[in-house]
Amino acid sequence: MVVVNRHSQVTEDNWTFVEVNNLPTDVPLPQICLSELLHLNERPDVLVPMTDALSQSGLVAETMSLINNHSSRIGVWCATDTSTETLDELLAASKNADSVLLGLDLVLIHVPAFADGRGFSLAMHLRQQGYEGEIRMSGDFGRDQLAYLTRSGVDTFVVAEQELKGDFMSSFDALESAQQGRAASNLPMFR
Amino acid sequence: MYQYNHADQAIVDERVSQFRDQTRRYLTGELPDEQFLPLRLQNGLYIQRHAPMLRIAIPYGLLATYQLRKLAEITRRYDRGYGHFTTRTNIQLNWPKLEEVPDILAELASVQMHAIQTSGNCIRNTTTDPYAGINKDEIEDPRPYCEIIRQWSTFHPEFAFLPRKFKIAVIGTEADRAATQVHDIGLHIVKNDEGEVGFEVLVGGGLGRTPVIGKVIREFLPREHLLSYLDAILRVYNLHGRRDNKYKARIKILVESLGVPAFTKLVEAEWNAHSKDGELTLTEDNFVKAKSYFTEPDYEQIDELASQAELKKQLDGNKDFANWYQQNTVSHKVAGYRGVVISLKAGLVDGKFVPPGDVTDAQMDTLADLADEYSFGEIRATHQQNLVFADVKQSDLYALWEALTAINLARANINTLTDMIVCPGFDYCSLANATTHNIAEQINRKFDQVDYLYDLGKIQLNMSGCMNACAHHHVGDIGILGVDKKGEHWYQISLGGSSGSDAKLGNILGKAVAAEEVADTLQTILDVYVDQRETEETFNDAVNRLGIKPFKEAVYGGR
Repeated sequence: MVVVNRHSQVTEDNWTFVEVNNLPTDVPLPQICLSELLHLNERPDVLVPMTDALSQSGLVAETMSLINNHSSRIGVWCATDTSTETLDELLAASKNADSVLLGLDLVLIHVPAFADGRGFSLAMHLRQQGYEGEIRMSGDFGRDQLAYLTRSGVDTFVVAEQELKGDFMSSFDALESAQQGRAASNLPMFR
Repeated sequence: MYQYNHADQAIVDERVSQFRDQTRRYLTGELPDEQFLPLRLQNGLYIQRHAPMLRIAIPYGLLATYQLRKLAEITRRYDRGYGHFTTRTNIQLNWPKLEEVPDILAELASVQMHAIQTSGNCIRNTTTDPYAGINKDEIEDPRPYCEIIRQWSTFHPEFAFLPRKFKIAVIGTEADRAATQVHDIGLHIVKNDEGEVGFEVLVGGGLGRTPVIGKVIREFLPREHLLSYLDAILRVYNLHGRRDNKYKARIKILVESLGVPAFTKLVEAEWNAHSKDGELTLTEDNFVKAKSYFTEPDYEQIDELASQAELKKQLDGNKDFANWYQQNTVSHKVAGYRGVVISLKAGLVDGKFVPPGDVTDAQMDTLADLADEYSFGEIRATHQQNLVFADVKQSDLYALWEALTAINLARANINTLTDMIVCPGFDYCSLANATTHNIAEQINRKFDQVDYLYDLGKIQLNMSGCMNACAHHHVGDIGILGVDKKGEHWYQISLGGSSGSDAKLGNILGKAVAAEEVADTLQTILDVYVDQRETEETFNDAVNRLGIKPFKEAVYGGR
């Protein structure tokens, strides 16, 4: 698996999932279990479940703070059934000096099926709310959705290496004259 | 009408090359079925019983003559020389070859036409009143708003993979000729007490398995917020609509399950938090620009009295012309002009039944010539599967009628029993449970006395071949639904529906009748009406007053 950005480049990437029970079976990035993480000398960039990262108290919150101490950056991942309220909570936490999520760098949205279009709205919502960090997508999206996904605010995509052969990257340029869905001034008649 | 600029043309051209590549990748096995399916649907391509079906978009039903000629040419070259107009005012080709579809799309793009978002779980063609711009009692012409919505919804990056399809209709009069109350979103142009223009917003109407009349979620939306508010509704639907069951995925189910107040609250919260007053806000300049594409044609100053006198002579001199004038023309805001409805319900032509909504390539060519000569080069498609010449001089009516008669397009049956909305049914559609064309033919053979049909008055008969209700059977004065019983086709009849401003769902008469009994059953129903109606009482009013019972008793008796 490799990470491709919206500028059609394969990017260097160090994000690692912290293993949890509800991790989808097909997540494509490296995984690390908690005990390994605590014994590492270096501090990697780790991805944790969004709902865990938002826990305010109890064991989960304590674990989060432990992870925070043993990592460089924390990113969160969620599935497409996440609500906009949860995203709003996330963004509030990313501005909270007491939160492990302060200065959140990455939100990964995992798409369970090609036709599941919720990821488009979740990304657009994050952008409209002013989130400026990276939005990454993994799962069953297709190359024919890349142009719409980047227009909805997604920056990077986790894709299988064999997908990249041929003209995969040209999909980023599909329908380049189409509107972005955000401004009336971008409709053809008003340009 | 709206003229595509370089931006629109670029978009359509880019879409053609995108789909050409997708088709190539599909045919070489690079693109899996489950991904090609939604992609081809969003380019209007279905796989049907015999062949693919290509649905071509006609934005809000408006066509220029050069576009109609191109359609004629395409049906000749790539299909079997005819097209089928739909209730979404689009046109379908029933026999294209999959590998030729990219070429057809390229041909269409040359006249700024396309099949974009005519199918699939995205925002479909916005529809409107076929008499837009010629109504005397219009608050405003809905077409500029339809065009703004078309541009916003075309390739909207966020809303191409919705839980289910999404349909919007806009009207500018109190009378509803676009079935707005059975749309996912219905928009009614209204003015508030200050005289400002805005929209009454209805959400959650729809037919199909679970027919629902739309609910008002906002009584007055100032027009500058049109796009931001639509965006908010669509986002709420995209995130909250059900995706686990396609029969429960339309927005109507979401609105019903949350309840109107809770749904409205979600929309308003989304709108206030994100999009209201944002960059989707339309400006006065935007409206001026949009309206500049829908200016009035160059009407002549007509001496109304002289024109009337001449017309009266023609009407008195020819009963057939008088019937056609009475049934197939409508009033116009400009003195000396009429709107003309061209019936695509020819019924039997030389003993052969013409399916409702079908037009041949030769007819299209002639219609284009006639529209150039008599109606400023413009044709409109209606939700009842007919066509309209919106701006015909009264003094040209007779000549137009003669020309239409020569190509079998002057049947004087608009708003009568034989002006049926009928889906293609089992003969073509792989979803259908029952045939429809044979039943439509049976009805045409039985009810062939025009004076009887005129005496019955306005009756909208809608017939669908399955519960997906493409022909809107729930909202016909008479609705017919084809069902499959152990491999046989049976027909369930309902009465008293309406898609107008008094929109309501019909009541089911009783158990389905056998195919060969449909026309006879209709006769029994109509006899009850004729027998019990009060002076000037329409069929629908009579069903309302009498209830379903007398009809039921007459049809089923003791059975």
